[in-house]
Amino acid sequence: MDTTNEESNIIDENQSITVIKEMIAVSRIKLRQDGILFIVWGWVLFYVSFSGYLTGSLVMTYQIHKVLSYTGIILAAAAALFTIYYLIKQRKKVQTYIGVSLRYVWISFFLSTVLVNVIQMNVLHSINFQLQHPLFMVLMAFAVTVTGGILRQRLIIIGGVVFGALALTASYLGLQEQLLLEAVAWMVAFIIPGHILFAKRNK
Amino acid sequence: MFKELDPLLHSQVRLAIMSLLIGVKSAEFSWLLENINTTKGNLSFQIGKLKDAGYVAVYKSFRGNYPLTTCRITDKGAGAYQEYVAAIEEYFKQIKK
Repeated sequence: MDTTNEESNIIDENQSITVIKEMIAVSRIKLRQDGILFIVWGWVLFYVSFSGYLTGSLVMTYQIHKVLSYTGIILAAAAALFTIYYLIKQRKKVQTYIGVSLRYVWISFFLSTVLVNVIQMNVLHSINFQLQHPLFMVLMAFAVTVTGGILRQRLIIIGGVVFGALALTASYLGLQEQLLLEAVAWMVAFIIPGHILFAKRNK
Repeated sequence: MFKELDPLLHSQVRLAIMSLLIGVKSAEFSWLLENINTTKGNLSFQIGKLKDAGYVAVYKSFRGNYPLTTCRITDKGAGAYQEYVAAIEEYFKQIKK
């Protein structure tokens, strides 16, 4: 739409509809999600869970065990730094209700995980990791499902529901098997939808 | 009988501004300028008209050393926009008959 004169450009009803449609299309294209953070965090958390499963299940040297563990910590720190960089770089000139809602969902998720640990300390006087993992998975399932609903991405919603089902399954299992289930959950709820969103970003 | 269209919204630039703002929480002046493709002066003038009518709220601040203008649609503006769209829809329904 080109309106270069200083007049207010009185229009007819057909042009009104055209303007409204064009502007709605602009908003949709500009505010589309690219799934980058889903991919980054999906792979990092998949690595952390799967390497945790491997180190606990397989016989390996102390050095390999240490390398796998430290790599997870380094990757998580790198992902956190990348997230900060990405959010600053992507700071959009427009604030959407979707963006604001997602921010609240993920800040609430993070605070809830902290509260779960504090509550565990208060009640059990220690952190029971076998209980902590399914509880975190439930919180994650909730956050992912709501995120999918906000973004209207059915695949993310399904990922969230699967995450919840795996959380329940994990509560019947030992810590090692829980880690394996978690790895599957990251794949279903983060990595696959993230790559699909990324592939669709310019379409 | 057709319902009279709000003359303030029945203009290309002002309708474009409102159509962009209706779907977002707030937007910077430069974002509106990128998408509406009018001149800076005209956009500023039309935003001023919408602001005077109470349809849009304008916030002036600074980012670094640069002035930053942010716009947000008001409840009054959202109501007027909805009425305008409803009137347009009604118009096309009548035409089809």
